[in-house]
Amino acid sequence: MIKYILKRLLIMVPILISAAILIFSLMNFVPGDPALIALGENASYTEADVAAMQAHLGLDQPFIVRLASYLKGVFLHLDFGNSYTRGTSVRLELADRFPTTVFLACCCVLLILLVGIPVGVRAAVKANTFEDRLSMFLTLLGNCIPSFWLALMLTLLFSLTLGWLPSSGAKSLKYFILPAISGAAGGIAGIARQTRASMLEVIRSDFVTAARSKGLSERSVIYGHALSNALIPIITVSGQQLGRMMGGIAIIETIFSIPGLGSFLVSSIKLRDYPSVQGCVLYIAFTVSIIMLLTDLLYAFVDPRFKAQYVGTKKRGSTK
Amino acid sequence: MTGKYENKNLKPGSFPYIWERISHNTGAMVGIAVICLIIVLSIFSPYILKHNYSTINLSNAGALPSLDHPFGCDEVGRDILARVLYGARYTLSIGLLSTLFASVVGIFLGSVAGYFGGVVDMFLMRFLDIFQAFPQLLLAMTLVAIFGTGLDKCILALGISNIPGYARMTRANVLNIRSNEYIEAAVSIKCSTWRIITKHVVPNAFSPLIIAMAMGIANSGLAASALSFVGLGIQPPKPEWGAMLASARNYIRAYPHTVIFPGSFIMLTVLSFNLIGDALRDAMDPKLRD
Amino acid sequence: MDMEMNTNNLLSVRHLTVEYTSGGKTVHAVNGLSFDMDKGETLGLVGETGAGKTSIARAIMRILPDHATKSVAGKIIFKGRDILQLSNMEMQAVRGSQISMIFQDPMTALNPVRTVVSQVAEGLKLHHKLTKADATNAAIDMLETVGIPEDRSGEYPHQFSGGMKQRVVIAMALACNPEFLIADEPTTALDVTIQAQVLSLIKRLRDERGTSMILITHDLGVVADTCDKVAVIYAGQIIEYGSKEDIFDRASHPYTKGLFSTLPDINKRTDRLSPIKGLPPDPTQLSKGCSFQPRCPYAIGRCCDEAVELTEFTPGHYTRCCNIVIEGGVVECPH
Repeated sequence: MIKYILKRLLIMVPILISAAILIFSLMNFVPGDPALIALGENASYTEADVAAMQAHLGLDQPFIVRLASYLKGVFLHLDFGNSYTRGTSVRLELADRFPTTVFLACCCVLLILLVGIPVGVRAAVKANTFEDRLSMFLTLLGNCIPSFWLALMLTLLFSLTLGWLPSSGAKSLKYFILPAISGAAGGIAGIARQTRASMLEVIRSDFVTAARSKGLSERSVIYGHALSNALIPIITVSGQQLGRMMGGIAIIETIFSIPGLGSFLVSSIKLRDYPSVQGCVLYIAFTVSIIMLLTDLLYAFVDPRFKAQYVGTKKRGSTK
Repeated sequence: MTGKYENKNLKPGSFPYIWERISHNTGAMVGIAVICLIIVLSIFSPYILKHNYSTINLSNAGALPSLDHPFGCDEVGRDILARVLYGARYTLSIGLLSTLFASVVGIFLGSVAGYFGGVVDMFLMRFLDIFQAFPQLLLAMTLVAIFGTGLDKCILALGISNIPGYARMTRANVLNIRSNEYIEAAVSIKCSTWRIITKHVVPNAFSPLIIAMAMGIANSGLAASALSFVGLGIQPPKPEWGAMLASARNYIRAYPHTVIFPGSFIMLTVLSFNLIGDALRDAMDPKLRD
Repeated sequence: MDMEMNTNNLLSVRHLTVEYTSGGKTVHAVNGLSFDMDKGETLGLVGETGAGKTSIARAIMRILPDHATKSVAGKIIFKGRDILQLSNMEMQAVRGSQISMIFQDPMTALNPVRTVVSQVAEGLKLHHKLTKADATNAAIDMLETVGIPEDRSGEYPHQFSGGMKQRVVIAMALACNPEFLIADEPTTALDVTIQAQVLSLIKRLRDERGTSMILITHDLGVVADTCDKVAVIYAGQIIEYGSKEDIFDRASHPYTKGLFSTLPDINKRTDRLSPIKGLPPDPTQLSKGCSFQPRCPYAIGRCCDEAVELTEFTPGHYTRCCNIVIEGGVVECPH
């Protein structure tokens, strides 16, 4: 098992390095002179100032050299360079914001799973009844609703009209309620639908009937036997939904003024602060890769057939 | 849901066949009707409506819906109905064009990877892996950082971020079909490669792609409004729905009604394409065939 | 049918009717079926696929698929209580501990993500109220009884062969020592060489525990080996019922006769097998007359028009036919 984890972590490294190269190269083609950005838009400067700034930023060196030193900086020293606009170390900013984003992401994930899976199970058990059709329609709506619009509507209702919940900032748990709901809505829809589809297939299986024939309560049969088998495709979809959710988190953080990686990315892009953009994107890519790894590990816990491949259980030959 | 179809002679995978199955699905018909209605209204709105989408009239700022202004006015007095209908052009065109771009390039790359295999395949797939380490929306944002804002750049950014999905799907289809026995059979009777591709490969790879494209238009439209909302897509004063929401957000306390309409239209459009996509998926699912 | 209830009766089924819905039509799977079973008896239900045998079994266990089942009518009296009238909780107490089932396909009858010992122990924990440790030990013993060694009890179903899996299914069914066992084609899905082993295992356990059994099969050889009484099912009805000797030596219904003549005789040289002409009737469109009439070589006019009752023509031997065919001649219907 450990071997499998290590193997996966090892594979992540070249992908992250390649991602860093890709981002760095792409950023290189941005029009405009970074030195000018660093000097500030409104300041007056001479040509000598510009040249000095270019040297300071290392822009006078050839591309390959800059790429190499950037990679060395990131992967060996975790040094993402300094922000053009703020002059401070990008790493400090990222490290500060990382926990906030992770916390918001976890809230969304919890909400998605805790609401989505039971809704899907119930829809499957009551398939083709009014309750089923209604919940599937609601989840379809949830899938189609823009998360930022939902955020605005929720803010309008709960924050501005009723005054129950705050609409910006991240000082305590209360501040994360509306953002979590907005970010989770689409994911809940996806998980609920996949759970329903998965459960429908499993519920008709022979072993579910066999479990019933042993006299188990319906609850044991559905949640004990059926769901544990239905989880496998659900985990796959969860991984995809979580990846998608990470993208939406940037929007949510911006709306609710939550100081996380996403809002940092958006503001850095607008400010044309490219080292910050690079660092932020890499951080997020890393987070997503970890999420994918955790998702894959879940398979091993849920499905013993999968686990067998990686733990190397010797498959006994058939003895009659 | 799926009943008996009168004309059993239709070739599976062909347009008449698909249409036959979709036409029985209420959701899809509603979706198609809504999209057509939006397109028509969007094209003709400047000629039909009383008010122009860009005329500022501060005395009407934040006006509530009335007969004169069915959706009310925004924070500088522009007619929201006119803006919303005109704004459909952006969402629909970005959705359509970026999906077309992504699918064409993606299908090409995927076919090449699947057909040639070996080093070409490995190289292309590793390259796509790197792209897929980023969430799609974030990749689009980063590309906007490079290209800049504006309609064409938005299409390009969203298009590029969607390529890996189509490439992978096509590659999987090509690999699957290549190893299918009926291809072996066709080859064994000396069917020409071109004929194999057109008569066997394309019709079978076609269905999942069409479904993905329908969903893709919905997702790209949604992403475009998300980008515009945070200021990285279409900029105000252009009446793109996301941009309208961004401006409305600043006045949400004073004029709450301004956030309702652009968002509803985004949802309506995305919902319609999703319904069509779902119906297509049901139509082409062999398990549901009679 | 008027069979008298006697005190040895374990199970009495009266006028059982099961209907399914499929594609908007009603499938009449079981049509007014009645029979009795004594304690310690093994009844073979014989018939082709689709005759309704599995529906009978599942109706007794009340595990018919909810979404497809339109109606279940009749009485199933087990140990004095009508099973069809029991509440869900009462039925759950019956299943597994008093009535158990062995399923046909061992590949799909076991939960892939649970160990075999946990699946056997589950019933024990539930019905015998054992602790997890005690239930596991008892399960291990049960698995050894069916031939699965202790050191393999913690493995998962995919690690076993088909024959071994079926042994686990048998262990699961018999763990709580039910009085009544329904075996739904327990050997059909297995290799021929394994079939004999599994069948002898079932017989041994039945004899040791005195379990009453319904054995569903389409294989007449299995019937001969295992059963005391035989009921031949066709189109959801019993068309012949009797002791094993009655059916094998003195088959009376044309269908039963047809079944036996399809068996190739190792002593005769033939070029072609002789199947029964035609196909079983469409269960959505049953006729009001005899259901076998379209394929019957002895059909007369009244076979189409009137439903035929099950008649006892020798003690204990019932048949549902107007023209009772016996050796050499055709006897006119007594009605």
